[in-house]
Amino acid sequence: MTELGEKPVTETRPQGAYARKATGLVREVSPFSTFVFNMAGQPTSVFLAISIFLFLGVFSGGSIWLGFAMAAVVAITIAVCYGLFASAIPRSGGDYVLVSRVTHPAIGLVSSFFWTSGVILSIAFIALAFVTVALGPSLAAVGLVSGQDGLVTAGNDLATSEGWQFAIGTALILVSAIFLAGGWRWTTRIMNGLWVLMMLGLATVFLVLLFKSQDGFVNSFNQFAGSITGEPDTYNSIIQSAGKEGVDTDPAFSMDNTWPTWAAICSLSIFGWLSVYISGEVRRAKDTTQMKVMGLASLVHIGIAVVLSVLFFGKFGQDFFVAINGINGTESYPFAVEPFYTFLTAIAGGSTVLAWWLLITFVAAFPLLMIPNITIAVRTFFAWALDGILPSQIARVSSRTHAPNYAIGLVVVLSIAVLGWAVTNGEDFFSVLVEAVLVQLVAMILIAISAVLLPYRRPDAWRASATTKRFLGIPVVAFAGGLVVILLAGLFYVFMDYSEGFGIDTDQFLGRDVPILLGAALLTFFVARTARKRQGVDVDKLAAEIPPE
Amino acid sequence: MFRRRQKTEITRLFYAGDVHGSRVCWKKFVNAAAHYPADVLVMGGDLTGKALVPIVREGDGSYGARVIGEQRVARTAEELDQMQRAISTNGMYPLIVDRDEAQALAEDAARRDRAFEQALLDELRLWMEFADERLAGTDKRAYVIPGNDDPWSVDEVLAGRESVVACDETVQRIGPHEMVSLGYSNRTPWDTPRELDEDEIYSRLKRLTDRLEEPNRAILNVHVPPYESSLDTAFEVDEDLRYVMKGGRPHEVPTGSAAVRQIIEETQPLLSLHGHIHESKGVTTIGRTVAINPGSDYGSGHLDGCLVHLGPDRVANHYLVSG
Repeated sequence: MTELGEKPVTETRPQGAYARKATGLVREVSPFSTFVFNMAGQPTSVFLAISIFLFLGVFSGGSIWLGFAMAAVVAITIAVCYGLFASAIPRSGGDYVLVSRVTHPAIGLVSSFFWTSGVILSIAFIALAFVTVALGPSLAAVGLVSGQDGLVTAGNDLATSEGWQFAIGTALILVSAIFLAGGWRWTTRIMNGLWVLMMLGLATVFLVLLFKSQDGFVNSFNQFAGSITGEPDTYNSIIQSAGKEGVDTDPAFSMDNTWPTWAAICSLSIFGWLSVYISGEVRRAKDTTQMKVMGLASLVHIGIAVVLSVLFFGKFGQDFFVAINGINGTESYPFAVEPFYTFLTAIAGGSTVLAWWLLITFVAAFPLLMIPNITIAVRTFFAWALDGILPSQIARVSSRTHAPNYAIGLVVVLSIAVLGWAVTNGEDFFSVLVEAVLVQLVAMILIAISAVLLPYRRPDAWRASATTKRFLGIPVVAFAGGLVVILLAGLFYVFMDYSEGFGIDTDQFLGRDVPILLGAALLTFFVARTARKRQGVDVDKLAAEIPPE
Repeated sequence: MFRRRQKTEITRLFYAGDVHGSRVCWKKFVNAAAHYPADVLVMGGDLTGKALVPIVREGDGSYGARVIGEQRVARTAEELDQMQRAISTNGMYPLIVDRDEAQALAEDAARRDRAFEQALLDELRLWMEFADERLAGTDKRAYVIPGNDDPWSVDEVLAGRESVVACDETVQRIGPHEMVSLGYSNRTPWDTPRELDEDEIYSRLKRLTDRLEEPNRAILNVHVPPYESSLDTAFEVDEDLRYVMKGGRPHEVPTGSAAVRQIIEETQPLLSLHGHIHESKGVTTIGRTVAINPGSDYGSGHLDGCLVHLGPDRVANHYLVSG
């Protein structure tokens, strides 16, 4: 079939080429949907609620502004590196395909085990957080703002009931999987719709706070909180309580604590590149479009986070905002709802309708985050199956929607099993979940190393990619790859160095979980290779590039 | 899970199609015989490329061209070779011209068509030589058909080769199997060189399948996939070659051949191999027939193909690969 776009075929050819009438490939995911997919992997509303301000009291004096700037550097460097790399190998399957095609299938599988284990943990966490962070607290927040005690009770019951956590979490996984089983046609519609909803919610927060003075917020807050605490000036009493709890609400700048603040920001701000998992399905994957889309997604995310953070500190008051986050979870904290920006903005607006609207738009971010995570795991298992690592059944697609239903089913089963573990044994689950970002950093470093090797191990693919430009005599993709290796290794070091603040058990990570993942990956590879050999097929060759010369 | 290999004799067949002028994909196709390995190579049509990229020779001895949207300059013979390979890997034909010739090509459509045809035939001759060189001295053969996009002039280049068997509209014996081949497609909006009405496709295929001695062991090698088979889903386009949008998105429709489907249903061969719709990669069954479209992403320099292990009476295993 002829390569098509919204324009006639002859206009879609690269400039400088003459096309003739012929038929060709049509890829399904537009640059806009690719942009949304990349933003969906790190929804700004979720990031602002759970990924950064909680650490304000822990890493006292750390500059979030410097942290944002440093995270932007990492995110853009990754976009350049991975975007150019994907233009050389525009296939679905993400890190597995990129690493295995340049190095060796076994190394690709190691990378993939590290990455995918993090993804499966994330899917379970998103499902759990959908109930415990989004639905439950948001309902309670609406109840508090509107004075409906029933909603507060319902929200808290929802957030603390293991039965509801598992039931609703499972429902979210299943519904997201059903979207994916409907093919890209439905998935992109739903994903784009959820993204628009999230962005409208953030725009609402922006407008409400923009037109609210700090004094106005203090009055609104005291009026609201007084009915709960019985105090006329809860605003200042929270700041004083924080002081008693040892939270420094006006700390001096500390570079030492800026590093972990940077790491906390990076934990949900350097993933604007996830479309490499669907590179085989996105349009214009051969040129620099995907790289630009990745960079734009990262910049938009960080830009919105910076603008809203400025408003949060300015309108809520820096002392208060640090204090209320610092005492969250202690006995001094007076509310039955987490001090998320949605809660504080609803108080600032003083409207039940606004509270409901913020609830809806905040909750929408969780299925939005779920879709790319499930997609990534599905595309990874699909790629493993194509290479003979998993049974070929996993690579079969629906005759109607072209969705890989067996791979989707496998991801659903694994995710629900991990969710069950998370619900019933939360402490163990969270001790492993905090390692997710570390194992994923390992995979990202392996991708970057493969990008460095690309021009030397796959020179034809590199020459046929979006650019062959050099910087200081080094191919841009390799140069960017080297930078990414250095930056991510530094980030990894910071997480390990500040492991106590992040709740990471380094002994468990290095002594137990890394060897388990490494061993499982290599065992899987060698078992698959042996089994396929008995069928007369060499797995190494199925996964490898056919030598052209 | 992983089924054991059968003790019976297995014919290992590698199929790919729609390489569209990508030299690296053709080389990979030929080398697939040794790589996987495979006993038989089958190429399912659409060999020729779709775009011509002029490389302009400048007065200072350098060469310039736009490749994937990037203006590139070659100053040495090695860089020029690399530039040509980059263009070729993307399924386009490099053509070295001086400024005047570049201008003439830009202004004269007939001149451009002639240059295009010459470039694709020259390239195809190189491909045939490569196949003869690589497969010489082996008992492996590459069975090749043109597809709907291929101009008639390619037939002459494909004919009479040592290791390449031009098998369009023939029945060939491959081990214990017979293979029926047809490169035509049904009608497309692009009005390409080798298109037929459905009844004509049916009658040509029927004439071929009637010659089969054991239809239940046969292989169909037909460029266009069967209608409504999931191997033929593509976006609908209007007469101006624009997407037909429904609900804000391009509308997907089955675009395969009803005649091919009817022949498969009536003949029930062992295996049916197809291409044409690059994005509709997949495996399905029509009755007892395993039907495969390995898709194509020739522009990436990767060869999408399918490795099939055929027992005398069944498809033992099949692997969609991207090498």
